[in-house]
Amino acid sequence: MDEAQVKLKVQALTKAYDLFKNKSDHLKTLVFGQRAASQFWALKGLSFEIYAGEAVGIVGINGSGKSTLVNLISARLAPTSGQLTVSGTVAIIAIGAGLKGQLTGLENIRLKALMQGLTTQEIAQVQQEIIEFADLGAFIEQPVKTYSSGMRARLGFAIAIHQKPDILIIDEALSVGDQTFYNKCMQKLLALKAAGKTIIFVSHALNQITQLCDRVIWLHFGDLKEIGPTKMVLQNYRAFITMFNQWSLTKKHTYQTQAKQAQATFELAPTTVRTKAQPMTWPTRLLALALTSLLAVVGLMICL
Amino acid sequence: MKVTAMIEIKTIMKAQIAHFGLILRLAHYDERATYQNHYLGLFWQFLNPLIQVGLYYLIFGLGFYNGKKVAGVAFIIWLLIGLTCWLYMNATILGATTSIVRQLPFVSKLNFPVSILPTVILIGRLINFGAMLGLTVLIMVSQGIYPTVMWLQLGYYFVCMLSFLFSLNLLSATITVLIRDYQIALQSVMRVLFYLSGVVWDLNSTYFPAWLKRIFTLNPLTYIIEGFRNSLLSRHWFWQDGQQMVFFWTFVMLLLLIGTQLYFKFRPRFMDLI
Repeated sequence: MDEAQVKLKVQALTKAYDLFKNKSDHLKTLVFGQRAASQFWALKGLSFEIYAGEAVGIVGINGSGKSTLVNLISARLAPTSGQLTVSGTVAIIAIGAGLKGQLTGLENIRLKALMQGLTTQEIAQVQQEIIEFADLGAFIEQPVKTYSSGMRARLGFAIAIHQKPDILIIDEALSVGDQTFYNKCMQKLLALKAAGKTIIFVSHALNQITQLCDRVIWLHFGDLKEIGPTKMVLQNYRAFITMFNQWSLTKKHTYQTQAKQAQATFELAPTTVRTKAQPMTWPTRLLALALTSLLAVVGLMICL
Repeated sequence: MKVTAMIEIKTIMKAQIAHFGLILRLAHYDERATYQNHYLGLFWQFLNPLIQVGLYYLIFGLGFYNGKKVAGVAFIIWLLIGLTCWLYMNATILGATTSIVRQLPFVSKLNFPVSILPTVILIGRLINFGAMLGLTVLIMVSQGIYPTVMWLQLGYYFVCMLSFLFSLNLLSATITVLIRDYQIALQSVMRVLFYLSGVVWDLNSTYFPAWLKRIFTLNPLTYIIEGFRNSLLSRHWFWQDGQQMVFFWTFVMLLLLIGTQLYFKFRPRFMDLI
């Protein structure tokens, strides 16, 4: 693996969400820049690497941080601390995301292509490929809001893979399609993998993960519980799920509460550097002050 | 120490220029999405202002001014110039407040130049503005008001308008992400400003005290509207209002400064805040 090209390098990555008790609490953090009274650590420090030509599955029970992780990788969210190095382009497919309901399927395809900066000629070509892959028939000319969830997934998938990303993330988007479309997607994903692309696959369907993934990351309440070959990790994960399901309701509840408590009370080591916005520098403040004074002086001159 | 504010302003400006093609394409799509489900489609873009012109002419031109001239010209012409500017500025200011909030969920990348989203509205509405201005000029010429050298300063006031709207819209769009109430507050402010900007009635001929009238001249919207009237009606040159000019541009620079500062401070957290 040492010689393989590292596509994604994650080091001590954390993500905290601010929890606000009320509106004024929210306002205080905005105005004074202080931290929220309570935070929730969706990710408590992950480190791993993903290589080119690899398919990596992400498993974990609800609330383990899967979506937060893929949103960080696709740069929809900014990390709280830690390093995230992505080499190459990323495309993400999540259920229903990134499509505009008002526009037709065709217009959505064109809009996505335009946003990527393709030329009209390139768009015409890509458009045809996407239409064929999505296989929506006459619906391609209808607004996306009239689509079924399966049709949306098909269009979303078709658009995402034709963006030709280096890293393709699939966030539970294949679970809504039927078997025919699923098979078609799986063929395509395997082909992409063979072509050296990296695939990150979030799913609760463990058989899908077995079919596609070389390695699996098991997230557990914001921690990386296990990372390794698919077979090994899934075996342990299945064992955990079976054990968890056999517990009594009270035991389950106590376990979850404890885990959530740990996510609420988690603290970064004091030396950790937080990703922080640049504060206003003194020259900028002086400039703002000068402009305000000038505004006041001229305003008074006009009024008096 | 460097004045980082200048670098940030430059970065924002560069983003607008670098993505100008994208701005145009997004503007085109915005228009289509807005009128997709309307039977009359784009026709509303012309019908809507026409109804407003008719209404204000009825109420103010006939009811209020009794068909008299305003500031030396027929009311309808005086109104059309002001309303052309007002409708464009109002639509842009209100449209831009939610531009980032609305579009952000569709923007799948953190490095997407979100600062162009308010500009998309600014550019998209220009077609309506151009059409209405053209119509106004046609009506003026038909009424015997011909172009003079002073019409050249339309260029200056156009730049004023775009600079003001650009600065305000970036600030508004950013604040709306942070505090959603801002949008509703701004709607109310704009409703008040409609009457205080001298769009439908001449503030100079009102019975307000002189000091209040002088305060009205500080309003950047009034500066732009009166500027367009000064140019098209060949009243006077822009440098003859030196103090207003300094005040206007200082105000625009301050808006731009605060807007870019807030934008860069909160940009990485936009997705968390929505």
